[in-house]
Amino acid sequence: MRASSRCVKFACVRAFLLVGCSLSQSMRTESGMVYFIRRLCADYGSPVSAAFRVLFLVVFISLGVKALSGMNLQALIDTGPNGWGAPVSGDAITDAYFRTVLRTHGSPLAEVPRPSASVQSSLAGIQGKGAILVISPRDDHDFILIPPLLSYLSWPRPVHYQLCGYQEPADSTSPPVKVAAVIFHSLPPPAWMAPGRVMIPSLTLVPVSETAKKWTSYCSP
Amino acid sequence: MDFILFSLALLLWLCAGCGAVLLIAPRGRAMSLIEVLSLAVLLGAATISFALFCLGFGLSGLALRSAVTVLCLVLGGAGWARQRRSLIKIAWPSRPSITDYFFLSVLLIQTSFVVWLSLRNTFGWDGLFNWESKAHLACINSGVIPLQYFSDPSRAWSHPEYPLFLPLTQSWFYSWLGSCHQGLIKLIFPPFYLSGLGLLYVSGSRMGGSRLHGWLPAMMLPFVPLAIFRDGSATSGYADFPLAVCYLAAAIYVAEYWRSGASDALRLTACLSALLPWVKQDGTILWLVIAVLIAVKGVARKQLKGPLAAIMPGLLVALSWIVFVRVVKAPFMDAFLPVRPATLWAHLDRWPPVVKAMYSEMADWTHWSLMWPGLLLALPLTRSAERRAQVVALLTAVIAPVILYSWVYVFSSLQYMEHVTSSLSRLLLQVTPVAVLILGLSIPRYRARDSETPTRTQTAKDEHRRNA
Repeated sequence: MRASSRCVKFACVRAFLLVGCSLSQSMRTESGMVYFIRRLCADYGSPVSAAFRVLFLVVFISLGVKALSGMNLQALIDTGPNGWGAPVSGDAITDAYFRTVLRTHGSPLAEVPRPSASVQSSLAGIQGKGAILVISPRDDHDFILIPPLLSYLSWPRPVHYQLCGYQEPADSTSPPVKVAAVIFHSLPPPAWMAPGRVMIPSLTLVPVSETAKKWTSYCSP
Repeated sequence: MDFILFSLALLLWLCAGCGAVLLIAPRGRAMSLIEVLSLAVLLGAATISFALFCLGFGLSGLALRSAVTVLCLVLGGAGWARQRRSLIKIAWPSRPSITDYFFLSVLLIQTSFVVWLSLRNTFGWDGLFNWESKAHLACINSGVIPLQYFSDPSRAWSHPEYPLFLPLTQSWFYSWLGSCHQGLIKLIFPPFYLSGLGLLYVSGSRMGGSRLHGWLPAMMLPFVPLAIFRDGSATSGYADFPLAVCYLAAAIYVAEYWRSGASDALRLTACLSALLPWVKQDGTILWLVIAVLIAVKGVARKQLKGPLAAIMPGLLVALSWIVFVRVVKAPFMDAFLPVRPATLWAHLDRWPPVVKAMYSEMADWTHWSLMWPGLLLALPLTRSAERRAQVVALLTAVIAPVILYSWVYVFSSLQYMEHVTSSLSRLLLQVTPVAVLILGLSIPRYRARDSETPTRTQTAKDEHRRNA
């Protein structure tokens, strides 16, 4: 790694010197800069410009490799709880998103080997027509993932969300007319509601049959 | 079993694509096998997605899949019949040299790496929620996206107004697999990557005059880090990379039209540029650039009918999609303010920060390596009379969208700098393959007739003559 970065630095210094020497030589005269540009443009076969172009290619490739190696690709080799088959399983992508949520909450991944399937089976058990309402604390950054993930898995049921911790109703989507279930993300259901069912750690489903209440009522303990 | 069904769907995709290429290609045109296969990936996906969209209004489930399968086979058969009548000449790759074997091995290693990345990587936000989610919806609704989805306000975040090239291509595979298999669907992106490599090789060697000019851009593409990893890349599940490959294809043939003025290049440009608005909304801007390039050359050559006919397919696709979106009452252009002179004037102060952000992005070597500054190397190519027209067309195809994209943010209805940060790199990615092609043409030595090195005396003489 250190050797490759030294190589890149060496190549950059050489390129810099090469351009610098050519510039200083050509700028001795009054119209030196113009001449330099014209020469660079016209001199398309001379050894100098050929060397410059080869050097450019080498630096281009070296920087590309260096940038790719800095993109944490080795994390992709980490196979997770399900081994090498995980990235090509039927729910590979949504499982990966749910695992991100589980990781944030410190839940052991091995406890829920197939999070999408668990969530989907819970959603399938919701009775009656009506929307799903997701309640999430405002300061949990995963809230942005949960409603789309649930919406993805719950078609044709609409999914709305409301955020607790802010006093502005603007932090919610337009409230649904009728709610079939409330899902609490990173929050326990309020005491006045039934305890509900844990779909995966950090997501609790409480089936209801009611018209949506004032959104802040779901935030109170 | 899943893998066999996946391969079958892929073969039908290629069959439809090859048929479409051979039917579209002008009579007597010589095409290399790599060129046919590369274009087949693009036209095959377009044919299947468009057929699924149109036939989906009347058919679903097995009937829909059977109808599209028959269409693929009929197209393939018709194309083969046309080729058999020797109307199209397909050139097989000639005997490779040691250099060719070297570059081929490098490309094989790179492609294996990209396939591995595709499998290991997870789709990004847009890849899952804006594109694959629609395929998933089609998958659980017998191959058809329900019309109620487009006007569902609770799903507006998934951009129902986005075109369906990618989702319906994915749903084609789901229909053959019989389930929504998120693991295998990642494998539909390597064909687009291979198509890009093929087009870079074919166009590079054709424009540069040697195979080295073809191998170099193909080899350089994966060294642009954003082309193969992170949001928008070939492995991210986004539509930006397939769009970039479609744009490369259109740009190659428009450059050929600029050089030769031949109607056969125009015909291919017309068909390929028509895909752009069907792949992604941004594709309409790219189509506009291609249309302007066609129009400019058409006017210069005093041609009217041909260029006008070449612009029409893209226009028709873009307008049809807009009409559909309006009819189904999907949210339209929510992220943008109305495009009016008053809006432009009111938000003109946004442009300098956007340009600054664009400059910073282009200078970021961890995203682009040296691709953007390297474009300066192409300037000498414009001195060659043989290549000038092509290089100017290609450079315009890179620079014009970049300038247009910088103006798009002036009309953003979101926090515009956040909008810039979240999407700028992806917009630049759309012109990346064309930029890499230009780089690949610039690096190898070019033995042009007019590339003699001028001495200072010659330069002085030139200036004197010009002044006189």
